[in-house]
Amino acid sequence: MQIHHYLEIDQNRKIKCLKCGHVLCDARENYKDYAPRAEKDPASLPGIRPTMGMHVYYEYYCPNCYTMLDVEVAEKGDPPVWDTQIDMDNYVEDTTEKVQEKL
Amino acid sequence: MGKLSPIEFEILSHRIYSIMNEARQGVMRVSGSPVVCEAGECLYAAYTADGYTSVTACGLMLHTVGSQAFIQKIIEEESEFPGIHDGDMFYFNDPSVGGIHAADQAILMPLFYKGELYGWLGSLTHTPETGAIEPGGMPPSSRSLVHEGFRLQGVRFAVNGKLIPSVVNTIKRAVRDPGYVMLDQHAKVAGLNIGKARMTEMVERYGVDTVKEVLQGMIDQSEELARAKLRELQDGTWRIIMHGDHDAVEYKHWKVQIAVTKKDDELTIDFTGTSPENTGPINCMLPGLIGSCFVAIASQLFYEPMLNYGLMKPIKIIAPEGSMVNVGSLSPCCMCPPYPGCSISTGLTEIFAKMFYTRRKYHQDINSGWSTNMVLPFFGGINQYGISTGSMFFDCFAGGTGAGIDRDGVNTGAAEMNLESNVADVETNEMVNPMMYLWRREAKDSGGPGMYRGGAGLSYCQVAHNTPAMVVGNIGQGGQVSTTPSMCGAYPASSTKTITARNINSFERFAKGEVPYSIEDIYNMYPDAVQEMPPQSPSAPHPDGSIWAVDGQVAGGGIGDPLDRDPALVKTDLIDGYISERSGREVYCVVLDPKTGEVDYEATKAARNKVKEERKARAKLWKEEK
Repeated sequence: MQIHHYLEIDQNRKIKCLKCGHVLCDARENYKDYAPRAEKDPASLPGIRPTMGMHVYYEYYCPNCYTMLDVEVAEKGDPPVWDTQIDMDNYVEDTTEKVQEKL
Repeated sequence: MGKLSPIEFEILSHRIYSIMNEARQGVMRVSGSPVVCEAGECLYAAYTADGYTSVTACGLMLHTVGSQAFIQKIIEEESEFPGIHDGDMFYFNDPSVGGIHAADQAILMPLFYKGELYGWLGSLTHTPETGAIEPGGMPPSSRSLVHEGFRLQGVRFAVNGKLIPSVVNTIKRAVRDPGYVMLDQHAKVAGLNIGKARMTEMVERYGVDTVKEVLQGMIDQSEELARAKLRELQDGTWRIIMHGDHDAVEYKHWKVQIAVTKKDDELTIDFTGTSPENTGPINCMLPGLIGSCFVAIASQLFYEPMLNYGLMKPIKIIAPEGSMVNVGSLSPCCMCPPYPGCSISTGLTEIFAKMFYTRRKYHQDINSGWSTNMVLPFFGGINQYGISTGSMFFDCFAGGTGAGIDRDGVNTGAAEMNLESNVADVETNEMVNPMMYLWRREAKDSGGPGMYRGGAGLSYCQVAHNTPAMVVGNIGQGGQVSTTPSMCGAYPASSTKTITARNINSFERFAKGEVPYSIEDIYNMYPDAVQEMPPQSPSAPHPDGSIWAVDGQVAGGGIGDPLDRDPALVKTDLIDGYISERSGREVYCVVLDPKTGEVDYEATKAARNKVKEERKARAKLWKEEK
């Protein structure tokens, strides 16, 4: 079951990177505990103009292919947000089909 | 479904929906206020006899559920004495009861047929003036609800269909711009009269019991569809933290913490961990919180059924008292719709998007965060016609929308709180307000950079024109903190910047052909006069010729790693002006051939691999950080 643009829960109930197939962790865990992160100064990006250092970006990567999985706006030192916590006691496989957008 | 067949129910429910939309159009055509007739900030709805929202005209969703509390309060307090009668109209704008802030003003009318109360109609507009301590209805200087203008508590506005002169005069003399304010009230009365006439025709044709059955049936149907959709989605808990940077007193970090737990056919939205009440009006009362939640619930999660109270029945909201999302009855809260309202609706939008990932059939409904970084300059004074005025500029309704899983967000598309929103043409704003535009355009480097980028936001500049006296202030967030997050590896949308240059000889410079076309130009032309306006700035005198400009606001969030963006799309964005060369080079890491201008795919691949190596070199697990 896909849970994120780049992540799915595989048949072994593990969270896996859809780009490279790397298994990050058990589906009951926060994938961000297993995704290396790096701090980025928001002001280093075009279009972002803060001057007071009120927050940082934490970039989380797949530990194998280093695709960026998330960018958290955070106060410096904040632990990762557990953004997606699937209820594995009530896990139901996705059997639906993608609906194509009608343009 | 009672006595009606499904086909009869469908026909009659659609008839009521059509009546609501016809009546809403009536309100918008009578009102002269750009925020209503151009921007569409106008609710029109039908309610059951006991005051539950049943059928809502398209458009503004912020008040769909909150407005029903007004009716329930009227029923509670007025039924026995002096009684509720055919032809009555009631006026309500207290955010502690319903609605969002004092500027949102509702007129409610009971529907009777042969002496039987069978429903209610309600019309609500964002009224441009409230007589608050600053013009425009949303004063950053507010430190209490009593600073935010007049608040009527279900006052009887009409008897036997005729307006009560003493109440009309009370409102007219409480505000800076009685012309626009009263035009809004007359517009709502006109809309209510349209709706009443059509509903009476319907009752006479189909019977009062049938109409009551349809009004209640619409709520039941929405609840049934909402619960069915929840059952389809995977159970779990999703979380996000939204940030702000100003409390209207000073720069101050605040956060709205949201956890959504979905189990079977119920949803719990928990705001535990949210910052305490702010000193300034960056707060919401419980009705404002519910309305802000409803924006995302109705536009993202349950957009299929009729927008009404039924959508809220499977939902429980936990909001700690004393937090900035549930403040006391006299606390300042006039900024609620943009802040923290947009933070709430944007945060929920991203959470619902992540819930949709669990079912492929909903992947096309995934939207990254819409434009939270909203800025609204407001003004007051004497306009070009010599009349007292006060209002704000709603260009921010041209919000960039969030990206999807296979598409960019819509550039300057709409405000999430009002999906039918437009922005007034610059000529319309210039015609009714004492100012001119120097530019209004889509902002460069504003949409959140990603594999699919957020919709571009807005940049514009105005100059005070033909006014003997004018004050201008600012309402917003996002100068210091990224308020519009992205998803799944995309960077947040741009931060905002507002500047002002007062007491300058701009008209003399214009006459010489020296017209600024960017904020940088204004800095260069008026280096001693330019000041940065904090996101929340009280009103200050802006004499004729003064300039103010807003950049980087209302941009949408992106989805996916910017390094995964198709280089050809990056090149197109460069040509179209949506991103800078620096962004193309440093954020998307696309290399263009200096001679041909075409994408150098080999060099791009190498540049992107180099960035990934740099990521690897500097990243570590958070538990291993010192």
